[in-house]
Amino acid sequence: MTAAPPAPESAGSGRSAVTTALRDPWLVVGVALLALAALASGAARELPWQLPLARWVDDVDQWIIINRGDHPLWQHVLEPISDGVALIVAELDAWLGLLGWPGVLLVVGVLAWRVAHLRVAAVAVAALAGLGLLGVWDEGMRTLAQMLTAVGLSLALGVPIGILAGRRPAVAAAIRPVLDTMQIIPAYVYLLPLLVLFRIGDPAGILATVIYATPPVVRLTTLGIQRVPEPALEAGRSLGASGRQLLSSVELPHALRSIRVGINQTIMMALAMVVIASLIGATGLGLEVLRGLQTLDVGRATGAGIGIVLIAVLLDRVTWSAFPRRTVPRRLGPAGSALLVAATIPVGLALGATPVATEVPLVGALDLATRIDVAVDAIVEPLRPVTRAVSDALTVGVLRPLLAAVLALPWWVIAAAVAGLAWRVVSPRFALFAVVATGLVALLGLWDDAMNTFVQVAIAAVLTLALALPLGLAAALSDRVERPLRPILDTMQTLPAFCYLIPVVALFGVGRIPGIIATIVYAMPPAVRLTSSGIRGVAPEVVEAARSQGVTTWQLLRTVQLPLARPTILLGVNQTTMMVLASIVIAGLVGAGGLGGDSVFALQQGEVGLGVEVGAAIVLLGIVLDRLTQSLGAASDERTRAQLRTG
Amino acid sequence: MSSAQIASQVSASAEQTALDCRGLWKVFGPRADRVVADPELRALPKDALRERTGTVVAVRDVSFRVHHGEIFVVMGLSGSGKSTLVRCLPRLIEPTAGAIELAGHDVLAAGPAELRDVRRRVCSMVFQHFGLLPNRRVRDNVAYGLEIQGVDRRTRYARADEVIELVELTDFATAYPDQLSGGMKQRVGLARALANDPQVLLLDEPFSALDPLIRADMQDEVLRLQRELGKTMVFITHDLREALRLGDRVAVMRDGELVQVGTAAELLSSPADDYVRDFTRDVPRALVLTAGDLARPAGDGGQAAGAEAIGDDVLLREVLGHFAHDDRALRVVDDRGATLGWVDRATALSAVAGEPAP
Ligand SMILES: Nc1ncnc2c1ncn2[C@@H]1O[C@H](COP(=O)(O)OP(=O)(O)OP(=O)(O)O)[C@@H](O)[C@H]1O
Ligand SMILES: [Mg+2]
Repeated sequence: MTAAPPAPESAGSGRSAVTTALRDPWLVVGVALLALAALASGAARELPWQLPLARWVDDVDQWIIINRGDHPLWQHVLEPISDGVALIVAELDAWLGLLGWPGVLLVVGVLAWRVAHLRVAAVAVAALAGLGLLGVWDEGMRTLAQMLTAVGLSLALGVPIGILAGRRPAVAAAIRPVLDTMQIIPAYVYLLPLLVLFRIGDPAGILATVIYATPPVVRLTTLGIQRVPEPALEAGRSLGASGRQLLSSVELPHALRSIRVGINQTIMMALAMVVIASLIGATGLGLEVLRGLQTLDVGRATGAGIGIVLIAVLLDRVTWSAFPRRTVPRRLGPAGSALLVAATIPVGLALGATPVATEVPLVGALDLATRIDVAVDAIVEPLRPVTRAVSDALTVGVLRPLLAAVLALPWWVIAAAVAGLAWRVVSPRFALFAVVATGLVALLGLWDDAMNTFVQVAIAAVLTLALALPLGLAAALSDRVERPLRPILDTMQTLPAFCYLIPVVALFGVGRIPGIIATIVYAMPPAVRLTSSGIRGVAPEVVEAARSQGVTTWQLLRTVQLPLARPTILLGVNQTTMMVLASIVIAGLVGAGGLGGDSVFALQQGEVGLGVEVGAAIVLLGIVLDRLTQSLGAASDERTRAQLRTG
Repeated sequence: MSSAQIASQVSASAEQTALDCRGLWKVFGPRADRVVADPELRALPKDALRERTGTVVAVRDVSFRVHHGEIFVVMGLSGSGKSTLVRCLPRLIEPTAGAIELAGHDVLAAGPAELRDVRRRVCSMVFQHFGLLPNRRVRDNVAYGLEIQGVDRRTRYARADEVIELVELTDFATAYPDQLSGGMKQRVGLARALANDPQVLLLDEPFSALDPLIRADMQDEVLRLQRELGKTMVFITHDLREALRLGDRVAVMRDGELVQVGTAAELLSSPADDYVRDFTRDVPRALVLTAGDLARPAGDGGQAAGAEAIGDDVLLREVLGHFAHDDRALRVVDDRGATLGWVDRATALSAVAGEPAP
């Protein structure tokens, strides 16, 4: 990050050399730093004053605790929302309970068959049966009820907003920055305000999930509606279609593919929240994973984790196939299907009332949870020396020295370095923002934790890219690499971050290193994909023209493919960095410390003030990292062009 | 045919032949080579073959020769296999069967290094959609071929500037491709191909994306290059007028096969089949055929030795102008004044009508 200032080109005249030097922010910042260091060499590193944000927030929290009982905001808005959500979940859970496992299998199977087709129904039934066999049926049903509620609310909220934004550019422009910001905020940060407003429990967890999971469906619905071809709209209007008719006959059908992707992403994000939401009192599989991770009970975490993935597969497959690619004529119309599904419910209930329904068969006989424990031990134990060596090497060789170096510097040196970089690659205005943001983190008294997180992010991001870029390159250049890799990456990309924590914790225990390793695995797929698709996406006629001139493979890569794929690859760098940040923060669950650790502590202890401070620090760090990595690409692009121009 | 045989043929004909393509096949799809090897499948028409085997024949048993300094035009309807054919020549597409000799190189037998060498020094391509590198300036685009050959910067820029001047883009040498018009981009494409100083230029519909006026300009450019630099060209087009204007010889392609190869006059006066006839029907013959194309040897001695002389490159339009007020036959002479033959009024009129001469 701290690149040396570029040596000024052999200066023509003394005066112009001086003015160029003055214009170079690196030089200015460097000189300022030296001056400051000289001034402050004696001064204390600690700030004389700290921002008492936590105290203010705690005061607000106290006020809320005392007044929520009779304040109209709670009486008329928040309590009803919370009660409503709680009611929906409770009802769903109760119905699932009444159906029992035979009833649920039957009803879900028939439903999946009718909205999708038989193969999907088979997958759905198998996923549910898996929950039973893993011995997590009850928790699974609870999570299913929560997910149905959260996803349902997200879609009920997100699709209309998306349609509105797609039709009105002003609305789209207004929500864009909100969505952009939401995308870089790690999931933890949403939890705290909800905890304050709703207290601990399922509703807070579900509402946090709704907020976290809504942006993708809004974004993709907007996109889908915006991309409806003008001729199609014109044709509709010329036939006298009303606004609503236009929507249902032209806009929605065209946007359906995009909306489907949005719904899918929303479901995946909701499932990613399951574990995190359990920190503020959501029960079910998420809580099981959390307990398992925190007590190093890998068998328990694995069973529940697989359960979450099974629910993900169930929801994913059914919703994905529920949208017909082309309308296939069916013997049974939608009304008939609805009737059929409705008719299976009493049958299911009757099945649920039978004595078989109280016990899931085979669970005792198979006892998957114990088997997983045994299997994990069998794999982990022999690998122990290797994992320990890796872990020690990373800790002693990289993490500790780097962290020590960063912490040895006073905060303002780092603030100045960040500001200089921000000035150079983004803008002077953003440099100011960076200084304020860095200063705020210091003022909040979170400097050491923030640096801890930052160093982990830097290490994980560098390692991720060091692994992903060559792999992406190999996948771009060789179909033999690409073909087996693609399904693996597809699957990996749909798994939420905690899925990677479970095996890594089994192998490496808890701490910062497992956090970094799980993060690398989690963040690699998009970087590999973007690199590969960037290179493969280079216009074929340009590649052909180069080949016709007799380039070697390496020359083609160096002179054509890499330069033209650079924007896509740099987008991958940006995305990777943001995923790394999100995942490193989540690794606070397994003792990775830093801001993530603080978040977990604050949430579990109900330390609202601390939680808000930490949330603010994470958001500031996220914005700075996001803008820097985004603009790094743009800046370097500008620079090469400029160099070419002068060269 | 063994490579030794080929080699001997090459040395014998290398004097005049720049490109020799024999029995070339390109079949797309699974197990394509089986189609060429099997006499029964080989004989099937395109659609039947696709039905039977799932393969698509793009080039079918094509043979032709191009002489040094000749412009050889290949034309045909969309999908007739022109692009595939021309891409097979430097093996941008791997041919399924056949033999290709480019300036003494047996292209299909060449290893990777020799093939690169052929692409770098022997032939260059110009593409319909330009294929310019958007991240490089005009000069760096033109110098690209030399750069990958490892030529140092000063030498390759000097060479690039020469060809840029040749295509009259000197003022735009430091512009980026997206700052140029379509015609200018294609001139860059041409300059890039010329920078390597290849013996053979392969041009795949280079002017299809250009408007008619610029296209006429560019065609003049091509003719000038041939005249001044003596380049051999294989020029693909689907525009018959362009073909007749540029081509020393024109090959007509249909469903992957060459149905006729000949000069403009041959195509117009004696089309091989209805496909070619359809192609040539709407061509204004008066603007394409020249006195040289119409000249016939003296017949019954009716033509007086003192008949008016006319250059062999004079267009039929002017010949008709002459017959409007004088029905005596004309004597056609070449640029050295030697008599090539005579044109009479009946021949001129039936040529305009597109009928065989009486
Ligand atoms: N990569 C490919 N795979 C399968 N079939 C192909 C491929 N490339 C071309 N073809 C087929 O080969 C035939 C000839 O295509 P080609 O592009 O050579 O035609 P063309 O004469 O250049 O047409 P146009 O004038 O439209 O450029 C077509 O039937 C096409 O469908
Ligand atoms: Mg073509």
